[in-house]
Amino acid sequence: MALIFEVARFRYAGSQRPAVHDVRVEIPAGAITALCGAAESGKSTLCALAGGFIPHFTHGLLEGAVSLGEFDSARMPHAEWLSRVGIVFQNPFTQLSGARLTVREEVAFGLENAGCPPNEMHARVAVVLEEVGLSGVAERSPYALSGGQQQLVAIASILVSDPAWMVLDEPLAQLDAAVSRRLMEVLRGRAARGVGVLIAEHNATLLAEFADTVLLLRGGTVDALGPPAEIFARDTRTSHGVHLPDAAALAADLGWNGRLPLTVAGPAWPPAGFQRAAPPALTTGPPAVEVTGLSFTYDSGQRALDGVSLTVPVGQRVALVGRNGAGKSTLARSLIGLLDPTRGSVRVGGEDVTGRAGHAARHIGYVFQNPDDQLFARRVWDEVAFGPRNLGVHGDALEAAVREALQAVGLEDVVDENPRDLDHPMRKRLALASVLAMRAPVLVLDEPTGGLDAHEHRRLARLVETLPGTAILISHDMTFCADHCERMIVLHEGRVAADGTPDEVLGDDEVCVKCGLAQPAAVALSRECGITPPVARRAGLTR
Amino acid sequence: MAIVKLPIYLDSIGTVLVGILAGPFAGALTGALSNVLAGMIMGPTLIPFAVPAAAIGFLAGWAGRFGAMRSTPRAVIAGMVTGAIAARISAPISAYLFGGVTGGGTDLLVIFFRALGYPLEQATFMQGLTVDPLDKVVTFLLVAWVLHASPARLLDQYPRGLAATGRVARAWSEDP
Amino acid sequence: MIYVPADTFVDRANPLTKATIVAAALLVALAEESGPRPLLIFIALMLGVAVAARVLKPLLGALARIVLPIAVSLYVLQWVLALVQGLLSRQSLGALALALLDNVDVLGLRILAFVTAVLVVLLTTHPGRLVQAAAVRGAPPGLCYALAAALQIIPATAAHARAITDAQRARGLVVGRGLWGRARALPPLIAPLLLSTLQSAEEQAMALEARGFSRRGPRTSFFEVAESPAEPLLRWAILAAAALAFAHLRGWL
Repeated sequence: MALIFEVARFRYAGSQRPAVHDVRVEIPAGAITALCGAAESGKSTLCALAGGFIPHFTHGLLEGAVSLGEFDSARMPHAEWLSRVGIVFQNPFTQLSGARLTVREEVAFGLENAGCPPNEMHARVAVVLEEVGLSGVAERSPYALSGGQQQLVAIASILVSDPAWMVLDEPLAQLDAAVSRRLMEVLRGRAARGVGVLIAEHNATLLAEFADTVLLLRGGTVDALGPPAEIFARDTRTSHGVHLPDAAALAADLGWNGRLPLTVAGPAWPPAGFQRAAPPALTTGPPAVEVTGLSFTYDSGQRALDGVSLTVPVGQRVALVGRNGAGKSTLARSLIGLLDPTRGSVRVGGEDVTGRAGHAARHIGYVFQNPDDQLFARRVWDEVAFGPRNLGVHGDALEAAVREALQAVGLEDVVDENPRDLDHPMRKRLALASVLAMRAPVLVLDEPTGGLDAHEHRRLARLVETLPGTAILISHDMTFCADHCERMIVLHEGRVAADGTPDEVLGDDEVCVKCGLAQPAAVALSRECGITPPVARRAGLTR
Repeated sequence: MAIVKLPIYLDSIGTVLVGILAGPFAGALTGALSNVLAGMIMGPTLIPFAVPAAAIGFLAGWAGRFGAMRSTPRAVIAGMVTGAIAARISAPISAYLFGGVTGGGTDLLVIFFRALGYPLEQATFMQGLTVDPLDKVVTFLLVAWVLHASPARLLDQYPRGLAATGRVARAWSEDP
Repeated sequence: MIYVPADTFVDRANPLTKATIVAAALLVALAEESGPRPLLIFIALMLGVAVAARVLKPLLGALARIVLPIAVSLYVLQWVLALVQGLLSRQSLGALALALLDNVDVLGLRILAFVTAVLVVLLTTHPGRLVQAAAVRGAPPGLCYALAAALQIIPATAAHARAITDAQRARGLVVGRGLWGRARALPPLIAPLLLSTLQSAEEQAMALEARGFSRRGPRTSFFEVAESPAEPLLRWAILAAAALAFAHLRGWL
């Protein structure tokens, strides 16, 4: 049964503009349909409409209807609609019911509410756990799992009810490459059995591989519709703020004229004609950050860092990468004096900041991954002023610092707004501004590219390029790191596994496999063109 | 509160928040459940105090209705009144079940008042009066801060959310 | 968390039955007003159960942590009163000490009995399972959900609070001097936590909707409560008997 949108307009309560308008599409079952668009383009609204949360849960004015066969989402009771349309959200943690003590019981929760007989429940749960690959952890508490595994539990909990449709709103946002792929494979399996799948996502590389149709959204309406090869044939980053698959993005950046290819190899690319361009010289100079023999063991006995030593010269842009649990966040928190190491020391700008957070704040700023962990003020201005005020900056100097910081991130227009009224990308910028205002010579950015659309991504790239002082980026986005950092340090199991230029690190297959790093498309292209050693930066390839 | 070294507990902050947003009954339920929960995790001696905790939630619900969150002086008054009533209800429970003591530092106050000659229940009540109102005032002020810092969309999810803070800043109606 | 996992028959017994038996026994012990003997017997019984369930050490540890400070305070209270009432001068300290100990006796024992009873149940039953068993036997689902979910998310909430504290300290948050300075540090620490809680509550509610939680039809249970059909009847019978015994011992019947 196809999912049919006949929506003239939908406006959230309290909002001036409609969030979506003139959406008239029929989405076929038995296929994976992707929704791609910049922030505020209507992706989440369409997912909420498909799930019946608009109009049953969220207040607003809906002119139009969403239907499944002869069923209308507004007229049917929500619980009944949800038995036909399963919905998965972005945050794995909040989707756990919290009422069940093992993964197996958690998955069965939905069936319990539906009054399914116990024998049938046991059988269906076992099948679904096998399908998503969680049979091994079935008896563990859902809260003891990683974020990626929790998301798989969430999807299993919905799949177990065998809905005819699956709607997923940015389900891959907090997942790593391996789990993301697993999730898409599960969806493909279901689609092959006739289930309809609607997925809003930024990860164009995976969508190019798994989606049958892509709906390109802009300004609340569907701009284009077609298979991935069609939609991603043009540079959607500038036109729609939508990310391109890795290979297509590389082609576009290298000045490709024709249709953008979805993969690096294949007839679309000429086999020869690219050469390696000289990499920029590594920054040298006095050290901005010096870490000496840093070791840290948690109370639980887990050794997070084991004798890490490194020196970052003033003005360098360095990426700190590695798997989750390799020690990146432990190292980062030691840099800003939040942790008392078991051994070793941290010096920033010549000052010893080991374990002294208040002191360190003057010398090194840290932008945390989740802006909502920091935002507490009633106005944007107060939020940005908080940091410099703590450092004793007042009056005109404070005004100047705040204004400069807001300008740097492009938030001058929302000075009097409530921080939590802004959307997620703007809140990320606000968190960055609040740290920039403190004017520390060294800046640490924790996963700055997470969940950003192409417009925001480009804005961030420009910002990173123009940052004064030294910058340390912690990230999973290898392409971004390769393009904007001159040096890459890889952590693996608490130790430095590799330290060099992005070309050196990401061109080394062994290191990448061992430490779970996804190689940028430029590396694959280098291989195709016979460039050795391979190049990881886009700027490293010229005609 | 160890990190800020203030003589307050802020244990009813959740109760007050729910009371304001969802009304007296929900607040009372939250208060009672919080104590049962704390009892299960930290120690059974907290369980009998589910009664004053429920009262706090109930009172917070009414305070919200009377606009306690709309200005600082109102929040302070609401906190003081709630704290005093909570102390009044806790006193007989503490006196009868635990002889007026909790094993913590505030027992010295009870001993002090008792030594002055006050009967046990009154001494316990007076100990409560020196601690509870301050704690509740800070609690109400913090909840007010949080509500005013919340996006309107979130507050709208709750029956009393927008009304509590007196926000009608945006046209929150269904017409175009 | 008080619960200590151990594979004994006490652990495996039905949570509701355990709680009922302990509650009934406690009720009877509290009824007797003439002296401390029933309370002492009850406490001894509970200690015995603890030994059988292999939780004696944790029990004693928890009792020391919870009851000892109360006992000390009660004792000090009595001492101060004696001092004030001028009794100190008229009797030898030793005799006075014993007399005071007598005084503290029954109240202290009542507290000890109550705390021991609840601890024994909590040490041998995962609170989540207790709530689940109650839900299966008809307790309101919303209430059981709230309790069970709260239990599970506490570690994550504590970790989140720590992350927020870290983030604000990295922005130079220092707890200022004086009462006002310290109070000013509260909003940056508390507001993000509560605001995130409100946001999470919305997401959680939507996820629960998606799992059919608000459906009105009959619910089944995946988690099997292994008990005979007579057991619920048995529990009500035990409670009724205890209530009657209580009333009789107090002279009401």
